[in-house]
Amino acid sequence: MFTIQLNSGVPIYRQVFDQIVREIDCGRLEKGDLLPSVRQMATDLGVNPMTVSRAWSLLESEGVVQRKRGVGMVVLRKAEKPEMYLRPTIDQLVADAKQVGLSQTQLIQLIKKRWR
Amino acid sequence: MTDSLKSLIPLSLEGVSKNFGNQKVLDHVDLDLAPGSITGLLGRNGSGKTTLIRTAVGLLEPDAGQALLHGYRAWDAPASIRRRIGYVSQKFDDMLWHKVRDAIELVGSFYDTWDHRLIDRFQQQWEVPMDKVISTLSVGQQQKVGILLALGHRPDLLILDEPVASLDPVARQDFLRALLLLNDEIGQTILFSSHITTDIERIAADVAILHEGTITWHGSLDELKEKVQCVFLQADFPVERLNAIEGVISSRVDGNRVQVWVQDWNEEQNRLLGEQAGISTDNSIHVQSVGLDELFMGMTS
Repeated sequence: MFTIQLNSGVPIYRQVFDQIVREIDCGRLEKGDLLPSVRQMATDLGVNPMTVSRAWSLLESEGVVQRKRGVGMVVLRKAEKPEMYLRPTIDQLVADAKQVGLSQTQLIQLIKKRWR
Repeated sequence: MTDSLKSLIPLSLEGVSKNFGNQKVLDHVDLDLAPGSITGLLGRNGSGKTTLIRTAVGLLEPDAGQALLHGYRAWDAPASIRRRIGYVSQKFDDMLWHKVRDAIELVGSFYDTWDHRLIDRFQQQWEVPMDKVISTLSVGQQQKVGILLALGHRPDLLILDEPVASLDPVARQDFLRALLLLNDEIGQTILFSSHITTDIERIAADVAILHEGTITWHGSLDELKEKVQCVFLQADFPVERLNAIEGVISSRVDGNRVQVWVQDWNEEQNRLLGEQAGISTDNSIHVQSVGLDELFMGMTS
């Protein structure tokens, strides 16, 4: 299920990109699957088709999907880089840690403690 | 730009200024709309949005500069150019005592190019009741009638002044979706004004921010989010010092918490900022991407 955060610092095309990658990472989209058309996706999300089109292009240039003429966007692989979709969360975590004055070592300690 | 290129641009404002008495409402506004684009004109109340729009459609004559529609001056554009424009004003107050059907028929009779099928389709899709008197409809429905009336002659430029301001959140989303479908289907250029950032965020790919009569940003919304960020720090110092650093747009002080809006920010500028603020470690400075709401605040203060 896709959700769009309207008042976020993350551009909408980036949110769409991240969510497709996540769908692939958790196996809801598999190699060979077709992405919905730009128009379909834009209508479902209620956003500008240009925005979806930009996300699709980024997915293509990152090698996540391939544009097949007359067919659409085909998922190329199971993403090998789970860190791609963790990146925004990590960035936010680091920013928050800095704000409350934690050092890098302290943050790593905290993560280790929580890691079960 | 050559004249033939200008005619490809649906709307172009070049150094447009407009005064009402002593009050400067528009101050050298430059704005070009790309064909087929959806642009949100964002500005606070009283920033000049309505004046900009009325000048763009030729209802007001600029005091300086020019407003061009497809390369022709908006103020005295020939009928052949005017026919390509659809304009919906802030409040729908024409023909309130007519039935929807009669109003559409009346306006349609002015144009030999009126597209009855298009209007029928959108009227059904938007569930506008044809046999009701306009004044008895909800504000949202009235807005939709306003758009149908502005749409039937298939304009390739649609200009809407605060089209959703008076709608409830559900009707608003509904209406914005309808605009998207319309743009997707007909491919016309849309300019709509609003002071509600989430509306613009959803459907506009481009945003123009109007502040005190000047456009402070015009470009892709994605680019705005990627270029302009906020720096947060805790320090007590005269923030005016920051204005000397390139890329600083504005700042706000809240106790000893300082928020600085910056553009194209890099490590070196961050170091300079720390220096000016008297902070030695960059641990206490953090740069963050923010939503359009926050961006808008920084660019209009």
